[in-house]
Amino acid sequence: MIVGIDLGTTNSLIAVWDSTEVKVIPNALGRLLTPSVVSVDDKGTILVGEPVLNRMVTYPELTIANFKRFMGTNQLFKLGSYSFRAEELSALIIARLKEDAENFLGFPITEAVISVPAYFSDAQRKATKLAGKLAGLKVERLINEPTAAGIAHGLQEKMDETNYLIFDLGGGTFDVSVLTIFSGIIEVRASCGDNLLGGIDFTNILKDIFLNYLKANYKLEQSLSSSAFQNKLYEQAELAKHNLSINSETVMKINWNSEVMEFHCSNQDFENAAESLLQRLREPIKKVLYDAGLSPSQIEQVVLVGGASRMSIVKKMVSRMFGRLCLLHLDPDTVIVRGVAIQAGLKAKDKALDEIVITDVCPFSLGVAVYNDTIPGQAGILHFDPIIERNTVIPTSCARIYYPSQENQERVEIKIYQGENFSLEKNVFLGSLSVSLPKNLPDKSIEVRFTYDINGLLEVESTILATQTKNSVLIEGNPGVLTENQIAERLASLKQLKIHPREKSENLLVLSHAERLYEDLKGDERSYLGMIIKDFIKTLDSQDSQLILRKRMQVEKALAHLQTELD
Amino acid sequence: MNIWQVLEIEVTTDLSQIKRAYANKLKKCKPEIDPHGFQLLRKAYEIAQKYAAGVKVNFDMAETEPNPIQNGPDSQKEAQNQFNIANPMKVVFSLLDVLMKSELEAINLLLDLNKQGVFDNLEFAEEFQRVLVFNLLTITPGYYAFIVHAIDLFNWYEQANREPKNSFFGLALTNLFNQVRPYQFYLKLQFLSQIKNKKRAKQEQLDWYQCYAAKILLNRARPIKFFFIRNYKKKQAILKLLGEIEYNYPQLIGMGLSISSVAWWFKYKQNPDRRLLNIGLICVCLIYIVGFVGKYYENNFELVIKSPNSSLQKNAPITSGQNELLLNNIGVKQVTGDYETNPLWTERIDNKQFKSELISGLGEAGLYGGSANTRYSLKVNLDQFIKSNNATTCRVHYTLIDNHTHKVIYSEAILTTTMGQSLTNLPLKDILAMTQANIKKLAKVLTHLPEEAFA
Repeated sequence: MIVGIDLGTTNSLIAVWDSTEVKVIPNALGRLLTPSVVSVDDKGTILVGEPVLNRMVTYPELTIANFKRFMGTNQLFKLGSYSFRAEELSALIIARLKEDAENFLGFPITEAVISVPAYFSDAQRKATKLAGKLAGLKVERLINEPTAAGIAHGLQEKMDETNYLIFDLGGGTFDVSVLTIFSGIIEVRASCGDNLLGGIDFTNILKDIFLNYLKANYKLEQSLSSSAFQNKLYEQAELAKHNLSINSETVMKINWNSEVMEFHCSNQDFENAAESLLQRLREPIKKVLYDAGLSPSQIEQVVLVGGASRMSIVKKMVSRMFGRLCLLHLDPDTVIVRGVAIQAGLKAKDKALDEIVITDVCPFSLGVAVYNDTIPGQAGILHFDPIIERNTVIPTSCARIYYPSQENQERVEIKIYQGENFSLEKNVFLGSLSVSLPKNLPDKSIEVRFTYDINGLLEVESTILATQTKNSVLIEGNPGVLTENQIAERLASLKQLKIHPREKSENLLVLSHAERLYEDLKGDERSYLGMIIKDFIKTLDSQDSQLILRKRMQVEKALAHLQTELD
Repeated sequence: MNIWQVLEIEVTTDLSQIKRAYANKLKKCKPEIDPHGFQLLRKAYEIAQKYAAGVKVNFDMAETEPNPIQNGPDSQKEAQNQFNIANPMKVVFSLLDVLMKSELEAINLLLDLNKQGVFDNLEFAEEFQRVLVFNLLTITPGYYAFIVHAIDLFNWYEQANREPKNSFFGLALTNLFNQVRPYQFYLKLQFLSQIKNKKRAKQEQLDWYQCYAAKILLNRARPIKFFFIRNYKKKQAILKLLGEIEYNYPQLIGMGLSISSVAWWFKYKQNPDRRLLNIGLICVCLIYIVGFVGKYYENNFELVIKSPNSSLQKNAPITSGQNELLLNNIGVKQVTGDYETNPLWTERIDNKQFKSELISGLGEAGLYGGSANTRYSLKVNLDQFIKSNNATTCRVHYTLIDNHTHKVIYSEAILTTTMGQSLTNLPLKDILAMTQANIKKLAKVLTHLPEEAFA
């Protein structure tokens, strides 16, 4: 059985197609969403998921979130004595999801389909595949997130010939796709997006508003540099963002150095401050409609997907753009993983899904660097010449013919780029292929063929037409992607890690919540809680599961009581 | 193999039938399982869709492989010939192709298309505009002159007002307007600066002070000059003009200095403080020094590359197709326009220098007949020196007059464009090369003037 995984910036999910419908698998705490957060405790044990959220405030330097933005880069994250790449952190999350699923299904799983933002580049896709591999899963397919959302919706309503616009604003990434669904075929017409735009940027805006207010009204010089203070602010901003999705006004409150500071924020303030972000949301929408060759009136359904699309200011903006209300009837948090699970079912050739075919596109142009002396003023300057135009249906194979620029040239270097810009610097370099030309050829034309497969991997083949000599390269080894040896090394070191057992997540959650609360309380209540925590840790060490369970219930009750006192 | 065989239907323009056939076939060759079969099917489907939309296509699958050798200049020519067929996309892309090569040719092409009545069909025009606007957005910033022409031609200001506020087209237009604002401001300055006196300004119903201010701005008055303008109204007019635009427009950077100096002056008037005065004086000194050094540098530079007149060749060989009447028989009567039309000319090349260039250019072509007693004489007006982000263009108007009959034989403007250079750092030798190219074009035109022109 193949599982479907939605590996998100803030939350990750896992689901499975059980021959009739999608089942989203809950984690050890009984929740569908597993936060994509990793932390390490003082004994060097790795902690993952929900219980770690509280540690963002209590141990900010030992906790990492939002690492999806660094997929496919060489950025290293320091975590206690360890240092990880974004792939490895993702692998830790996937491994936990896998464990949850195995526990739920009762048999081991080895294969998965993972979703990626449509606008992810080649290196980022490879990194995602690698993360799955490091977690011990064979990644059968990568699927674009908006496509997955479209599949989930398309299965819901079996209307004839409908154009959907999927607006997918996740925690850290933003994608828009236009889909046409007709007689069981889900056809992606065009995709566009912004890999560095998501819910966390909106939270940061709220945090900035709050911080500016605090700076203006309180003396905070020393606190500003404290990451615990910053994380607390962030948490409040996150809470306010959620509140503003429902109400038109909210209060942000922070308890710092036994002083309670409050700030009232209305949706209008938020909208004004977030104007530049909203503008960045509009651009890809316009582009995608243009690429799909549709006018806004031809879009029958606008579907909002991703947790961040719950924000009322985003909803308002999209409905303003299209002059109508948007579709939100499927849970925006789980809709992607549902689609991924369906894709996994398709991949496993499930009979119930036999009538469905999905065609996707390549969201960016791919091409090579060329000289073109016919453009005045550009002689001698290399520029980008696309071979596969953006939003071409994949799999695809395109070829163009090029000539060496010099008469007696012996070698041709084919540099492969991805992007939309005429000048090379603004495009992403993917790799290169060097072709040596035999001497004394009358016709030196070279055919360069790009083959882009369904997983978004590119193969480049060059043919010297006169001799029919072929050279080919599968784009690999570009910056940010590990080599085979490095992967084996990483895999070995990940196996060495001590990971906090899944069954004890609940204990961890209670403990981290208690520690969190300990920071906020003061006086007698604080020392009382200190006693409870000490007692609970002692019980945990006893390994007596019955006793632990009873104790935990007690602690939870006490915590709930203290929390209400604090509020 | 033919696309209809791939789709397994009869030849049809019924889109829903094509789609149904595609859907049915697709289930047999899913992209994951049979990538090659899928690619073939997809290609057939896309061609069939085009056919249904009324585009002429080749049904044969084998020949639809893209072949870049044949897609070279030939296909472009073809596209230009087919402007009248109902595919606005194609027209836009051909137009953009031309635009990438030369902005001015593209402008001419656009105006030609309009003359041909291509835009008379409302549906075509609407689609054309939409495609053009969205495409322009993807290639801008740049091509301001072209955009301004398009804005005027299609009345886009009016359309933007008519469009609902949140429509894409409206937004795209607004975006374009914002991009060309500095350029339009520059054009406005040019227009205003052509008004020479108060009376004329009144006739044209313009504010004379504004015209004066435009002239000052275009002349890139050094800040120090600004101080010597005694007239408060004139100063106000300059400030008002400057207020219309942010100072990021390259030609106006110098003016940014002056406006700050004015601000300083007013401040000093309100509060005559010794320190403030000293700072001001130091600034003025600095500005002076910078201006002086700049001028010295420019002068020096000019000396080095001034082209010699000795390259005159009086008896150039006659080649076939040349008009013998003009040989060694043209004099240069006058060169005008450097200062009035565009101070950029003055700054780089003035009338005098242009004249010497012209003489040497005509000499090379064997047309120059000395300073007196020639049958024909040439009047020159330096029209325009336009700079956009990607191209610099100069336009020169030439008039050839028969001295005996006083008949105008030839009167036309000639354009030359340089791509990829910004004028602010365009070296003098490039401008010289540009004028020389312009003169060469003229010589070519003159030598190939038809006989009828002289009759």
